[in-house]
Amino acid sequence: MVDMAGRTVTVSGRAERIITTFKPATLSVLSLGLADRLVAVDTHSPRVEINTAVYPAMSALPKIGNRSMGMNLETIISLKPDLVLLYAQKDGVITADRLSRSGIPAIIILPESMASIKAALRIIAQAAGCPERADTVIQAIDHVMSVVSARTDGLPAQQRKTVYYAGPEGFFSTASGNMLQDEMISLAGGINAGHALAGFFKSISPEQFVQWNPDAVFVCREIRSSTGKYLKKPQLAEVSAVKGKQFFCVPSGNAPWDFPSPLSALGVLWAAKRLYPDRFTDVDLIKEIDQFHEILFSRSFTEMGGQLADTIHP
Amino acid sequence: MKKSPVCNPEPAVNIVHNTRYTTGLLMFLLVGLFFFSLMVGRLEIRLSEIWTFACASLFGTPVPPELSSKALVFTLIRFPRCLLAVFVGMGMSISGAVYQGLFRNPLVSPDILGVSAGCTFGAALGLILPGDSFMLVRVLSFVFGLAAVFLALGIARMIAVSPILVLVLAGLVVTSVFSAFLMILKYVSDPYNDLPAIVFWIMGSLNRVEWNDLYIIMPVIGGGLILIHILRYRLNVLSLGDLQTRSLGMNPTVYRIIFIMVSSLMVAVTVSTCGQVCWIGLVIPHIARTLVGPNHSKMIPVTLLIGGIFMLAADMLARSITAAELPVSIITALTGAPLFVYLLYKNRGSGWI
Repeated sequence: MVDMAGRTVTVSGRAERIITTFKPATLSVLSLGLADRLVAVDTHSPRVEINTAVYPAMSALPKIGNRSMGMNLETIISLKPDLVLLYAQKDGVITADRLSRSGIPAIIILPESMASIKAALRIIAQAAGCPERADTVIQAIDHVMSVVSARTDGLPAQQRKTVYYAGPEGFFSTASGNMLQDEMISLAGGINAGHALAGFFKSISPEQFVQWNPDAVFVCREIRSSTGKYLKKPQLAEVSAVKGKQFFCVPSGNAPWDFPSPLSALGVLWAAKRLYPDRFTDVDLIKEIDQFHEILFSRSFTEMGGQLADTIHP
Repeated sequence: MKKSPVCNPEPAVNIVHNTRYTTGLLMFLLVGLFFFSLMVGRLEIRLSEIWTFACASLFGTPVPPELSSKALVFTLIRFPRCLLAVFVGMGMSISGAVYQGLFRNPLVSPDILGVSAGCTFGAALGLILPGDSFMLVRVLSFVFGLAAVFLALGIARMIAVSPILVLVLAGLVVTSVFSAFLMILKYVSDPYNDLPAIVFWIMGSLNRVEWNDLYIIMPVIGGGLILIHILRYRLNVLSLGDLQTRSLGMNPTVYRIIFIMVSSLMVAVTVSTCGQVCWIGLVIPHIARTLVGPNHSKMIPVTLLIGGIFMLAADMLARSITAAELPVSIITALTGAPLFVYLLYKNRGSGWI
């Protein structure tokens, strides 16, 4: 099969011993219902609450390192996996090639947009020998997206709200036009303030924030606790989002929906509901979320003790 | 010391004339650039509007409602930021000049001696420790900055051959030790909360500045600049060496400690407000020396002015070129490094290094 870096990899057809090396990969494997096939994960994955809620045994699995600090190749090989899911950045491709040379099938997945999140699910499901499972998850994603588009597609351009997204590096660091967060905002019917920027998270000046004058501000949960103070800063008082107190933390309490995973679909639904509450009065957010989790993890969001945790207190 | 008066080829009269002229010109440039940078940015603010805002803050005259957003940007974001740029530029370049005079070594500066690395580590440690004390970050930054200088000095003194070279090498050692400590902090810190905060802090930018920061920075750097300006002649004496200093009736150790403490304090408040700013401390004193000669009583005021101008210009570019903010260190390093090479080339064979 061909992976998302264009490499041709020979796989057994039914992988039983899977290793994931970054958070989106782990969450994708879990949402395909393949948790009990994991033999090792990266050090960061068990820190995502939903991962351990779905699969408590994950904390006890061997850890192979992580993307930012490097992986231990010997640990990976010693566990005799028949599928290793790697990232495309940094040393991902080199490591995948080295593993393949030692007879271990290694696949690059690159979930960076709604389309590639689905593509990654298909590839993993194919390698694990359960392609129908990917169809189920993708149907669930498409259902959520259709709920949103049915209510936002007709929005006239002048009613679309400008959204400022603050990333994990701080309030004045925002998502550029080629990031998933930009796509999520536009799928939700909004306009990303930093759409014209290119690259990764970009730092901006407070002046630029005032000039963009966003109608709403979404922040990632890493900086949630330090965001409230920006609602009170006099220098930002004239910004629409500050005046209207339209500051929200992207859910949820147990997994970041603003980072690539099948749950990003829920992030879009949540964003649309917060931006255009009038158009979504008939949508019960928690009910949709529960259904989605039920399909992916066989347990609802509420059962897992999940909370939106999206308010920001000044 | 770079050149003793004996090997200084220029006649004294010429330099006196030059100095007055240069200082006046630089002062004029700094004031002009300051007003210009108040107008430049992502939001266009005209000179007439600045006048309106100034009257509003000073005499309480009303601001037209259509300008209220601009008024907030001007008084609470842009004005403090320009002010900070001037103070940071002056503080960093003066501490560079003091270090160079003190250690009689043209190759040292707060970044090279490891002070900046020590301050950065201290600030990161303050961020990780429980409690949300802003003061803790600054105090730890200062303590580890000082520890870094004394460590570098101690190593250099212990080895005690070829002092100019060894001091630079010792600084290199101290810098890498503190960088390693910083990496340990980043490795053990919580990827969701502490790590982004540290990364954000280290990247360094003037974009977070608020008046609260200036209430600390202005007295510390302002006081430091005044003190060094008053004592600047003592730097000339100190740069003659300990023996001569004593024979002139001055206690070298006391003054050396005063100078180190004051300049490290200035570096620490800078680093803990806007991260590491490269090259200013090393390059600006050299430019000043090329302009008015090595005598500290003339060179210190000129260093001060050029430092302010340089940083103000660099930050103006950083915040207005693109919608995204450029890290200011990119600009200071890209202009400072080639300038330094040019100065090295121009002054080759003049006993400069």
